[in-house]
Amino acid sequence: MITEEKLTAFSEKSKAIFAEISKDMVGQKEVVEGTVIAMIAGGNVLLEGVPGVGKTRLVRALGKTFSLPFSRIQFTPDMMPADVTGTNMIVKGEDGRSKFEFQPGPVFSNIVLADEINRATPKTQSALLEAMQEHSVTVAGETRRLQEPFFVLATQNPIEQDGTYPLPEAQMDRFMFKLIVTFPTVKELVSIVDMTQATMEEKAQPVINGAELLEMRETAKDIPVIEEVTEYAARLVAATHPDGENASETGRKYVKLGASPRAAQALITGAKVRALLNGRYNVSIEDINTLALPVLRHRVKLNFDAVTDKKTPDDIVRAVIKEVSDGPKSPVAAVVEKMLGRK
Amino acid sequence: MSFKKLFAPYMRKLRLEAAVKALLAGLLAGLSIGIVITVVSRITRWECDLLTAMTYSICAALIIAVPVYFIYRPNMKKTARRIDKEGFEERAETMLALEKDGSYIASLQREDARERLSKIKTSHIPMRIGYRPFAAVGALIVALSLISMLPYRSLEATAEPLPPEVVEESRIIADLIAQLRETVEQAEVSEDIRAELDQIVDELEASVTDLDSTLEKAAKISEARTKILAIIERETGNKDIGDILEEDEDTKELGEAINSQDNDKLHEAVENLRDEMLSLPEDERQQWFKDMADKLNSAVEAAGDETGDQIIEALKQLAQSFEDAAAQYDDETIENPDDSAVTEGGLGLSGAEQAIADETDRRNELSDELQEIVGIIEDARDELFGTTGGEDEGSGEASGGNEEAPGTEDGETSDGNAADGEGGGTGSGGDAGEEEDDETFFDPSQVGDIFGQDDFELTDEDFIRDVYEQIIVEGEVSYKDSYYEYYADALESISRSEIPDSLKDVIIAYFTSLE
Repeated sequence: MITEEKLTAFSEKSKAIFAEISKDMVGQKEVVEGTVIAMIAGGNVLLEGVPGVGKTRLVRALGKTFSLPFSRIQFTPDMMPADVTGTNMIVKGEDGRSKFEFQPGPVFSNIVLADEINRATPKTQSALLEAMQEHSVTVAGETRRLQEPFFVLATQNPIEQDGTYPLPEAQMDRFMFKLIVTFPTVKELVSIVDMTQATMEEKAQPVINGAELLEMRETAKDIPVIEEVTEYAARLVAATHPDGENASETGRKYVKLGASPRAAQALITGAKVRALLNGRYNVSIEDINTLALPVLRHRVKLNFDAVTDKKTPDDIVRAVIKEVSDGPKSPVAAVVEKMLGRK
Repeated sequence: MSFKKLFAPYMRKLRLEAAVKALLAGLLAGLSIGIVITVVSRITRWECDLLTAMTYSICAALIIAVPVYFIYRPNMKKTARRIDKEGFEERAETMLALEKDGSYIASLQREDARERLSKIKTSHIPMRIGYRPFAAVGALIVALSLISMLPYRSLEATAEPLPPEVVEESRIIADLIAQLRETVEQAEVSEDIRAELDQIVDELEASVTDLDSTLEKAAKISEARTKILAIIERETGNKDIGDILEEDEDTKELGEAINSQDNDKLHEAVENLRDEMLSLPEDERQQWFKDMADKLNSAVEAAGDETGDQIIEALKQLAQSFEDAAAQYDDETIENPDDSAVTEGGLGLSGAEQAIADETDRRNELSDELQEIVGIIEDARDELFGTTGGEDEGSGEASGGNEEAPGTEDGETSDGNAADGEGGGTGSGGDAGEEEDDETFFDPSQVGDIFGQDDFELTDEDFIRDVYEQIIVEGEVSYKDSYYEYYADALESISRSEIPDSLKDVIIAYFTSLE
């Protein structure tokens, strides 16, 4: 049950989080906001960007700010699944007898930075699947729960790079957001250079712990969402399916595979957090539209027509948002609406 | 504060917006229907009056406007949605949805929404109407105005093809008027008079167009023709050579003989002239020849230079021979001038008599031919009306005037002839001149069903006599009344293809000469 104290705490903590992160991150406001929203909402984030734009730094800053154990997995093509999850190893006990002891892998942390995840083999990548979704790891038949809150913040280079293994759809669907880390502007670059000339170490300090984060998550869950907004989010996701009855024109033309129901869940969950972060006590359609790109861009698989027409997933998602916002109408209704306006 | 009070100002504005949209939609529908009706009435025979068109348009406008108002009429939810769309971020709709929610977050949300709503004035909620419907209404008004100016499709274009007889009648009337114009053009009159005559023809053409009755058209044309010929005659003073000769005592008998077209009378007149010439003392003959030559030349000059008219040419020759005869007396080489002059004059007289007689014969032959044709026509008419004879005399005498009637091929016509003499529109007997208005004749078509249903026998003399007398009484009609009726019938007959084209002009000339 949401209370005034919880709301106050949420507001204060969220301000503190952004303030601390801004100490180590210059610019990238959308990425920072998206990551924070995902963390509060309990989702995983995929960060994509060219090397050196601050992906790892952001994750490290988040780790420091949230005062949570942080582990980094640098994926390489020769990495094995056991390198991620851990494995049983033979150790000598106190009594001198040898026994198997489970050695947890780097996934056993609160915040896991999966760096360059697309460099690992699919087998290794799938090792993260259970952890990301179930927040547990099964090794040698034994399931071990991961400590909450648990996040996977993965990074990857753009797919044009050689020697990478594109993430399978199943794994992509488990990322709440895919955030594009763009190259900073000149002004931002100047600030970055000035900041890092002094020191390369992160200055962010812990301002929130795991329990507080979980409480923030619970607070955000109670934010009311009216039926129209939920329906709008559902229509948005359905519009990405080319064969569905609510398919958009863009979806029919350019999409091979649409977003899963997880996308709708991610939209609503993330929108609640965003509304609260903006000091609003209700979810708006604007929240849905803002989060639609990070939620849908990695869940929509394009067809060959999109490739030939040089359409990116972002182009498709924006077009779908516009079509759904305008609403479906017959030609007659379109003319009437154009003349007299919407009813 | 209840939500109703909270949303009331916004709802009022949205209600006004709905009314305006309904009005625009109604105007669009009504004007569109108006345009459709106007276009349809222009391209078909449906001449829709203004009241009907307005009724349809108003009905269409109401049929569209009322539902549009109810579609756009705001309620609480629509008002909240509208407010949210102006940047209120679904606060209003959430507030309404959580109206009955007593949770802390719901109350917090309502409070937040109210506070923000209090800062939004109704002016912040713009009317979403745009320029398009106004532009469309304006365009439709302009289009309707332009289309309304188009004329209705003429009956000539949409009506069924006119029957051939109506088309033919129109052509004949046009031909008669064209002939009148040609007569005016060829008349030797001053420009002022010609303009006056042209105006008469123009007025005739205009008045004929408005008339429906063939009878009336024919009467109008006849009246105009008479008027035109009278003016021409008055201006040119052209008279018939015979009439001119009649004005002088010395040439009167010759003139009468020429006008009679009777060669016996002509011979008698020439003989009298010869006798007169021979009866004169020798010393008076030269003067007589001179005087007669002068009189003949004057008469020829007064009659106009009708080159090609054989009678005038003969009179010219006669005048020349008289001049030559008079010159004999001054010729000292001639031993006995009286004899040569008399011979000269006699030969001239004989030559003139022969030429005039030949011309008279020729004209009479033409008259006979025309008379034969007219006879055919009359026979045909007799078959129609079931009568016999009666008009032969009038036809024969009237045919003398056919030469100058329009449509004839006789190149020796004289326009003055139609106005006088036997050809001057007289009927039977040829002497209807001053008695035209009172003359009556037998018209079998006027006779009713005299036999009734009674049986009769041809041997019953009393019955036959009674029937005969009844026929005579009922059949006696005014010439003038009957003439125009026949003329109208003739024009109608002409329009049928049963009458050969060559006879149509003759028929028109025939009736024109009967005036």
